[in-house]
Amino acid sequence: MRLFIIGLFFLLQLYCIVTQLQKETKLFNWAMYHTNAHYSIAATINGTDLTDETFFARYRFKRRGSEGRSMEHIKRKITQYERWYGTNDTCVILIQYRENLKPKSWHWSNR
Amino acid sequence: MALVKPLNNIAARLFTINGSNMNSNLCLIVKLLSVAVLASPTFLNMGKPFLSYFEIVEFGLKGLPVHFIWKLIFYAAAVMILFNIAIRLNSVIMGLLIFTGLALSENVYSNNVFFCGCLFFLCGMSLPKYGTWPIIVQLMIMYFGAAIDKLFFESWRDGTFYTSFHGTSFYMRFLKGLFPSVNFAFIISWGTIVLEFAMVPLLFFRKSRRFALYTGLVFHLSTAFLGQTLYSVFIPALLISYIALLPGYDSFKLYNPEALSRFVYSQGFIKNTVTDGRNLQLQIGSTTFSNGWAKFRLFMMSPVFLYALVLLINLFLLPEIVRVVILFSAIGIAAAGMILSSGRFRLSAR
Repeated sequence: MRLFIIGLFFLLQLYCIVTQLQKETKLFNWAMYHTNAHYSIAATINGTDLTDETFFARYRFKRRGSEGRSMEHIKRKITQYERWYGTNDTCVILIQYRENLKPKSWHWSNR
Repeated sequence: MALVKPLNNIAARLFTINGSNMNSNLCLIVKLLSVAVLASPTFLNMGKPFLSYFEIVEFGLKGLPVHFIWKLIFYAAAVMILFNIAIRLNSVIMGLLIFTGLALSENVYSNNVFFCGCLFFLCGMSLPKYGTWPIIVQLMIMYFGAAIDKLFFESWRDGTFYTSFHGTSFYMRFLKGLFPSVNFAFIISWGTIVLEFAMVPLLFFRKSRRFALYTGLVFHLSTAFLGQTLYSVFIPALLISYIALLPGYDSFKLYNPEALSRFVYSQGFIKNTVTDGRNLQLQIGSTTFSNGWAKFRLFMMSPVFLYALVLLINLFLLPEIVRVVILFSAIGIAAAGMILSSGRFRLSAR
């Protein structure tokens, strides 16, 4: 039984490695330092711009920072929060980031 | 005086890495990881259900003291591991709690923490007869996953990632100054991919494991040195996991086990007289060491030294550069001692 569980545990990891290979999320697939992104997020809730403090209070991560796996995680956290907790708010997000030397941006709104 | 015996018993439990129902190397791994977990701030925010991967978890646990319960069990299990109490069960609990903590909040996800969870879980699931192969397979999977992900990512293949990550660092500017036409970022990127792939067969074959150990050490320590960071708990956890590649701690033959135990315990806060210290002999492989150098080698291998090192480099709020300096100072002292002792104080070679 122990060997079966250990074997299953390894197989699950191999499954994640294969299935996450072409996905942006990079979940449980040992993608380490996959990307080097520095980002800054402008968030507006019901017409009010969020400061560093109010942004952290809402999403519990920093408005400016760096991401070593995938920017998709930052996007997922924001969209997930708004889907679960911010259904009554009008949210507008603009993420400007520099990923592996390339400047990029991502615009999203829940309305 | 009345306190010496109970304190000695506590120390014995704390520093004993064999005699439990776990392989001695794995026992040392989970104990050192527990020290790291207790000292590191990385795990403090785990166990809070916020932006979970599953909606049912997020809303099903609302209002419950999940974070408090998670932390209580987590830190209690870490302490029990240190004192050899139900060490395998508590290791599995630690592993499962880390996986649960990761599932509870996307904000705390990191490979570093996941790696610690894997080590705890696998050590706890392993019977002594398994040896250390579960950790070795875990390392193989980790290197394979890291390598194949980089291989499929254009920014790693063309060196853009490395230019972005370390392009302006002192050593890259120094190398660029020496050889302006060479694309070091490209070479280092492909070197990393090849090395991570190579670690898989190197770890697989018993004969090449020692080479894998040295290769991995050079690779990871150079990333720590050049990046001037230990990447949260990753470098300490990885170095700890390499204990699985060492010969069994049980296999160190000691001519005077009592002197060893007295010596090891005397390195803690418990002061014992090392009555047999003068006759201490230590055999490692085919070489026998005595007295001063035997003590030095023992000290470097003793849990006391390793606990202190892991504790220091994971300590709360310690600046990153200080952690790096502590790690490299310890490695420097150990390496110098090993080199000095190997030539001069060899008693006999078999």
